[in-house]
Amino acid sequence: MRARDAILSRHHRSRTVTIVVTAVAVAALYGAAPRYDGTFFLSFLVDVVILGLAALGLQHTVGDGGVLNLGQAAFFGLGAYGGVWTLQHWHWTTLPAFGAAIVVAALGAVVMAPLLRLRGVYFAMASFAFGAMMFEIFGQAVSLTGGENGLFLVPPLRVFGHTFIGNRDSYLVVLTVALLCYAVLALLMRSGYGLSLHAVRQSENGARAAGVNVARLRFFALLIGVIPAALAGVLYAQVHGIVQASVFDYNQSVALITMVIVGGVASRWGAFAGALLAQYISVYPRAIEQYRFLLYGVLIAALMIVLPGGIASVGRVALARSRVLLGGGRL
Amino acid sequence: MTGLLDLSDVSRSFGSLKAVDGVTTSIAAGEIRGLIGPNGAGKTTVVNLISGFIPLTGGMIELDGLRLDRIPAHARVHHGIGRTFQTPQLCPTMSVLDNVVVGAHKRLATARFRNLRARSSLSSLRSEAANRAKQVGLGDLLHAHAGGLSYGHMRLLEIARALMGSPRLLLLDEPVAGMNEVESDEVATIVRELPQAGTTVLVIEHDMPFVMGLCDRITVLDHGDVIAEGTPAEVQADPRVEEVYLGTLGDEG
Repeated sequence: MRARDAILSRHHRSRTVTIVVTAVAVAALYGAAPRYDGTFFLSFLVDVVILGLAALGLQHTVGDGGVLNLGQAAFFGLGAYGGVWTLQHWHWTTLPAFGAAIVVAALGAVVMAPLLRLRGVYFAMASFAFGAMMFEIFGQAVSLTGGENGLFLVPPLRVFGHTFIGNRDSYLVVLTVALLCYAVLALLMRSGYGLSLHAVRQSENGARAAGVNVARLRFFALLIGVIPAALAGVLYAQVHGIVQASVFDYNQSVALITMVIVGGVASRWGAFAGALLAQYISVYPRAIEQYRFLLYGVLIAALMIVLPGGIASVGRVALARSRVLLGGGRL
Repeated sequence: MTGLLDLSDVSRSFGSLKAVDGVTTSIAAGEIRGLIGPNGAGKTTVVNLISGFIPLTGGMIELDGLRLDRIPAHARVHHGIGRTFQTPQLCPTMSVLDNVVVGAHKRLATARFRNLRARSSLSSLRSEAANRAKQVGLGDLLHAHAGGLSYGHMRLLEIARALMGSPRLLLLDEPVAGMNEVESDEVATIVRELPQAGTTVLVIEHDMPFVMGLCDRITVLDHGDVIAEGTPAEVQADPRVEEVYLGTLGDEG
């Protein structure tokens, strides 16, 4: 019983720590809006959060579900075009447009579902081809997407009768949507669904013997993972007022998977950390813009050696190292 | 035949190799059936065919009159087929408790969609899982990582996970391989209690004292075919069985 009490109290302590850390982090994130108001950095942060949201969904598919989707940009695009259609043609506002975006992206996931029969790297290649194909469609379906010129004059974010214009307002909306998605995914992973998904990832045969429909669960991992990307598409379109097919090309899929890997495949907040780093590389050093993907490659290779758990594991690794240095600990 | 499980002329070929070649047998409800035979006789293939992990190439499998062979593996679990593996298939970084909870997948899935208070039902599944773990003697290891368990404990954990699905038929693939006599006696005690709880058992095992002491009836396979079937005493007295086993010994010597 004493051992159990110790486990319980440690559980409570770690829970308190989690709550405090989360509260501080959320406050700091919202605090960035007034702190950096009027700076380029805030518009940079808006894009980081939007891309991080698309990467968050991908983290669920890849990290939680073990389904290596290299076509996430397609769902980012499907969400954007689906949402913008309702905004421009039916004069919907942001939240209903989210609904439309989710439906369109979910249809995309249904179309992609047969590819899930492929495993591992074969699915990865097929999903990459799916992304490339969708990009072609985005570029060719001019009446729906505006083709390569894109769609202009996308109405700004409008939620509950309030219009959000400018980086500061946009940042607040984008951040709120991202945090809500984060929370929903975190809760989902603590539910029975999350447990089954973990089981499939760790032992497919074991999960099947326990009655888990592996094919269906892999589809859910894909479906749930494309939803944040669809929302990110609407946010991107409304924040920038314009959508162009080039935003949703296969380079974007590669960028998104880079964010997930660099941030830490197993970590939800890692997706945002990865987005911050990847977006920093692509925006700030203008001179090396054309070497962006070379840098991504180097970054992934270096991380796999130094920090296999991604940026998200920095704290854990540093703690373990310092314990070793101080002695008495074990690695 | 009117057993709980009926195999009629069940066959499975891998290319030109007939791993299982026309096996016909019937397991009665409440029975503990042993499946023995030399290496390569097709025992594990039979378990894979019953549990649906590989498809049949011929014949028919019925559970209480229900054609099983066209049902996918995960759905057979919902019809009451539980199994363990020769090499334990567990989730190594998950706790013992969570590994057992996964065994209640059908109820987990229902809790997920139909019950908004999924948390409370998850916690009731957890307490049920804790009882199952205790039933197989893992009560002290509930929060240990499954990957860190001894081989014997992993096998017990697989049994606990299978029991979470309240199987009508439990397929055990070499449950005591690598265990000492004390441990295998413990497993025998656990398995012996299962029929009273409504679980019929089919067990593959090379440990002859374990099989002979535990099973009501034994089926002997050789080259994918049933060569003998009966009570432990009948099987032991069967000259064909002796020949197969002596033959194997001769090959190895």
